[in-house]
Amino acid sequence: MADSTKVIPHADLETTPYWEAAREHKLKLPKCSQDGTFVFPPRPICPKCHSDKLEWTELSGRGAVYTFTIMHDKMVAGFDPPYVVAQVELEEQAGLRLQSNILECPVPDVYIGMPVEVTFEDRSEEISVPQFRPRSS
Amino acid sequence: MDKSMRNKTAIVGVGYSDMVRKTDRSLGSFAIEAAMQAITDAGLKPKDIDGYAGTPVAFGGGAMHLDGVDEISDRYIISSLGLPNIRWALDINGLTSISLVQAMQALAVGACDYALVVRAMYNPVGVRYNQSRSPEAGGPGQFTDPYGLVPMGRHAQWLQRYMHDSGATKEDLFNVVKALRDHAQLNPYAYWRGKDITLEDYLASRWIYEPLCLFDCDMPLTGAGAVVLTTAERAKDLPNPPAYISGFASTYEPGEAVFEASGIGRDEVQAAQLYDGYIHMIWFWLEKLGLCGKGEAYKFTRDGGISLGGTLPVTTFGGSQGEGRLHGMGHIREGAMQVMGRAGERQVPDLENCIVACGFESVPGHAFMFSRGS
Repeated sequence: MADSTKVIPHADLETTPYWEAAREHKLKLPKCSQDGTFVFPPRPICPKCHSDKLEWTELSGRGAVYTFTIMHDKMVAGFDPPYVVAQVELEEQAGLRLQSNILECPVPDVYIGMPVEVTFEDRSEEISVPQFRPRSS
Repeated sequence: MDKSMRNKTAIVGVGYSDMVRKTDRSLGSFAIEAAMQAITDAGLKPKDIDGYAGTPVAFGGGAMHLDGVDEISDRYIISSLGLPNIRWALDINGLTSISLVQAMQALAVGACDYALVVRAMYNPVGVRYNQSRSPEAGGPGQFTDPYGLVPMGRHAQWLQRYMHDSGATKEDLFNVVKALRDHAQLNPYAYWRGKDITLEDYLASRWIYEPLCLFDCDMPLTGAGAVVLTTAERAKDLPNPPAYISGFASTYEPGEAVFEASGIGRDEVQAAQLYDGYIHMIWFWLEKLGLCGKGEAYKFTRDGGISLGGTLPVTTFGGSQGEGRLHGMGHIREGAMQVMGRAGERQVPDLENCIVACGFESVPGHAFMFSRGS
């Protein structure tokens, strides 16, 4: 269900492929073709080997909650507290973490280490944002 | 390790203003009050000031970014005080510690001889500090705002992880809140002077970003602070005992660097002014600086460990929690006052060295050693 009251991302020259992939309900990040590092936030070079040969690559979408906060204040349009914002660590790479709400899950049930998988929330015809929800294993 | 700045500069004057929730005075009048007090305290006149460093930025979604209204720029101070001899001035956005670094470096290369550093902060009435007002988020915000995460929510996430890894509890965190509140009772400028806090008050306070509650957050106020720095040679001719800056480090991990730069060991430090924009940052700094073991800060802050008279008195003026939010200026000012021996009821006896550290988990921090001897 499209929810146009929530903040929508403004893509830029470095992030447009991320949001284009999200619109197709795919989670993609630039991956270094030299050493295999996923780069987030997207940047023009690999921060480890400094190669500029990066390829936008689809990820498994599987990860685990690294940490989270429960937002209790009405600070952001479209969000009714309490709601969770978690850092999800993707299984492809230690330290590769995306911010996300945890959908299809009651707030008190979120815990550090919780296995999650990507899903997509349509904010408009053009914009979908990656989100995570619990997975069974 | 950079030792080139060791004892090259000193803080020689400090200035305060009132710290208030609501006011009909302009922010500029607070900044001018603190600046003039710092210049006078240093035994100087405005015409002596030839350098200026400031961090004007107003943070938060409600910020108007209007000079003289919610931000105070170099131009505002220089024109208001009629500083005729300025030959170096620089505004950079960030915590106040960045201005201290800039002023030290400008003095060291001779860009100026007497540098004024001012930080003024405005508390807008009726606007939430962290409120997001834009329907679109670009830059780094494109990966956070669409999830309803305000920038400061990240600090709650780091605390959540810390508590998970270490076993620390909210009761442990209260020990830090209480120590700082107690220190505020001894600071004439502290907002919370005269108001104690109990564990019951603390646990009953509302969540902001769980696990951070209201009393874990700094106190939003309107107020200003200022310091005057000069070279070590010039400092000797001024009325106050100089607070020499014996070393500093500006890095993600300033823990070892600040001790190496200053040549002063951890066992030679009698107090620490650690930044407390959110209260758990004191834990992070204690561990980052190696003042206690990793994952052990919550134990270190039990049983009065960081109180005046304790193992290592920390943030002895009450901090951003107890005195009020000045984004590090209060910590710098208190470090100088302690080293000068002018902290009154808060004075740590026989203090030779005081660490001052500003910043938080995800950005390079600034750690300074302030020392009595040069």
